[in-house]
Amino acid sequence: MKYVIMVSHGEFAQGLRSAVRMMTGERDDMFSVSLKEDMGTNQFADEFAKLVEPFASDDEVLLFSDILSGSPFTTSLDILNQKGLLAKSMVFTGMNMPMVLTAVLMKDNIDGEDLKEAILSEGRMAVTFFDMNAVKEEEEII
Amino acid sequence: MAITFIRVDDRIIHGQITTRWSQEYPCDAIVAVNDLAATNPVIKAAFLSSINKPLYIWTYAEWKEKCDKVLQSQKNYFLITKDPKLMAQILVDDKFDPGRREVCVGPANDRPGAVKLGNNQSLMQDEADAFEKIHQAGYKILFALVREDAIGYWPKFRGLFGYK
Repeated sequence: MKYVIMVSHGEFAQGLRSAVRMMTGERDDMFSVSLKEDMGTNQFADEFAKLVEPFASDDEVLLFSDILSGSPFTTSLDILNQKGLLAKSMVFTGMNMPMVLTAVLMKDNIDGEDLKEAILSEGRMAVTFFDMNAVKEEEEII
Repeated sequence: MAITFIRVDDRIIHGQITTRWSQEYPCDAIVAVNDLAATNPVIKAAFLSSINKPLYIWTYAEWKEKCDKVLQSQKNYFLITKDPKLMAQILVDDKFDPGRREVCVGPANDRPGAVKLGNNQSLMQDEADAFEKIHQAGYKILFALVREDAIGYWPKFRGLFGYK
C-alpha cells in the first residue's frame, strides 16, 4: 500500500491535509505530522515513528515536506531510514496543494517516474501569477 | 453527447469541480449560468483562470440564446448553476432536455433558517421546493461535495421539507 505523509513546521501539514481532504473525501492513507512551535524534534520523531509503526516493509511512503532541510524533513527521513522504509519512499519538498492532491489521486494508478513527474509538474504549474488582463474568454462554442 | 454532468453548486467553479468532477465525467468544456458571476469581471476572470478547458460564464439571458448550440455540439459539456431555482427553471420550466436525468448537488452553506442535510449541504425551503420540482420532472438528485462524500439522493431528504 502507498501512504501519503505531509510534514511541516507549525500547522501547515495539518492544514494542508484538511484542505486536500475537501477534494478527496476522508481517506485512511493520508497523514500529517507537524513540528509545532512548542515541540522538540524528539517529540516530532516519536509522533512520526508511531505513525509509520504499522507500515509493512513493502509499503511505500510518499513524503511531502514544507521545505528542504528543515527539521521535519530531516527527522522524517531519519525515521523512514531506521524503519527500512526509505528505499521505497518518494520524498518531495516545497509541498503545495496540487502536489499532494495529485499524489493522493494518482498514486494507485501510476508508479515510479510517471508518478514522480505527475506530482512535480502539477506542483510547478500551480505556482503562477494571476494576471486579470491576460485572462481570455472563449468566444465560440466548441 | 452534449451534457455529461449537471451540477448545482453554491461556489460555481472551485476546487471540487476543477480537480475532481471534471476528471470523473467526460468534460471538454463547462457552462456556468449565473447572472452575478457573468457580470462581475473579477469573479469571471478568477473562474476563467482556474481551469484549463473552455469555460463559459453566462447570464441566464445568454444561456437562453446559446443553449441550443451547446446541445448541438459534439463535445462533452458540464452545466452548472449556483442556485437550484435557476436549475429548475432551465430543466423544468424551460424544458431544456440535457439528455441525462441526474443532477449532482455540491456545497450549500448553512444559513439561518436552512435545514442541514450534511456537511456543507444545507437548504432553504424555496431551494428544497426547486429540487422537488426537478425530482417530479424525473431527475435523480445526488448530494455529493465529491464522489466519496455523497450523502444520498433527494428521496432521503425530501421528507424534511414537508414532501411525502
